[in-house]
Amino acid sequence: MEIIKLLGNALAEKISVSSPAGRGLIKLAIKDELGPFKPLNQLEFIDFKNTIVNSLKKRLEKLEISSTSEIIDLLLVKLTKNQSLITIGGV
Amino acid sequence: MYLVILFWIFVALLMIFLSTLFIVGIFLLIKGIQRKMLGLSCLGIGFILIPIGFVGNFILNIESGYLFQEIFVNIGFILAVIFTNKTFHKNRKSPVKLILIVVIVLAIIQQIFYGMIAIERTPFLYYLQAIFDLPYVFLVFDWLAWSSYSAFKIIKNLDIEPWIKVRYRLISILSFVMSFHSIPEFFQPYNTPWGAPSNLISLVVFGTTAVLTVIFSVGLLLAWLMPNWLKDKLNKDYEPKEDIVFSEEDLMTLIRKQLSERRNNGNN
Repeated sequence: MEIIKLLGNALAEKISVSSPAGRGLIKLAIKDELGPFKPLNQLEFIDFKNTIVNSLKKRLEKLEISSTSEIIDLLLVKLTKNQSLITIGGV
Repeated sequence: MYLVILFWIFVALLMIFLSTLFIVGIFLLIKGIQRKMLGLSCLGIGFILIPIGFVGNFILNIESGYLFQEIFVNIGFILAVIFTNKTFHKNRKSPVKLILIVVIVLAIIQQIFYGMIAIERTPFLYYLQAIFDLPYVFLVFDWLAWSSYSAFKIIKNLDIEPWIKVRYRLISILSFVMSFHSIPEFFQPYNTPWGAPSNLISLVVFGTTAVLTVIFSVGLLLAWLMPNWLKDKLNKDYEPKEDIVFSEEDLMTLIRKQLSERRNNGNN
């Protein structure tokens, strides 16, 4: 999904890991937040928002990443600006 | 004779518009339900309602002009605005509520006008209705066009599949074109049936509207039901990045390793 790719790449750049690792971290956070059975193509804006604010934040804190709040804010801005990708790029 | 032939060509175009819009509507509704996307379902229902209104008006042969048809068209337009708001403007500082309220008010005004025209068709009522229809149609379609274009501007340089970028462009261009479809109404003689072959002006007005609506609906069909061969063609210079499937443990180990390397590099 393009929105996961976009958020994952932004996260990877921010914490200086590879892009696949950044995307993987987003997917893990989605699994933490919504469980393993929710298909990625059924995620809505609110699912991504909750994932970033809750599960991803916890994952970043666990990894002892500094400036977690700044990263979360950046991802929320990215998500809000590119929210249409969920629909336009998801059908 | 030629004018009659032209009339039937325009009728055929109108049929293409209605059937294409219906197909796109069904597709969007199914996808919207499958993917639990409320905005997409709204647009799907809206696109289904518009042809139902037109065909219903024709089949039922309602005497009261376009009153029946416009109920469906107005609901369709309101649902299109809900789609725009839900797809492009969640959690944004956009005038989404104001635009929706204005569109609902203008839709009600249109409905009242059509009700009054059904009772008595006067030039004053007809042109007043056309004057109010102009900002209404502009708002519905240009709001979608502007929203899609703004989103496209943000993603155009990002690593996104090219066919998706084309979909954004198509939605913005087609909606912009469609926003002009109420202008011909001003040239339509108020006391002549829409597209009457006996009246050249009316026929031209009908033809212009038919062409605009066909461009819109066929373009939308292409945008939303883009065939795979076209997607492949548009993506021909694009290299998709396939994600390696990691177990959770492996992924976290990889991230920790990369973070530790970064920290070490930072210390050095």
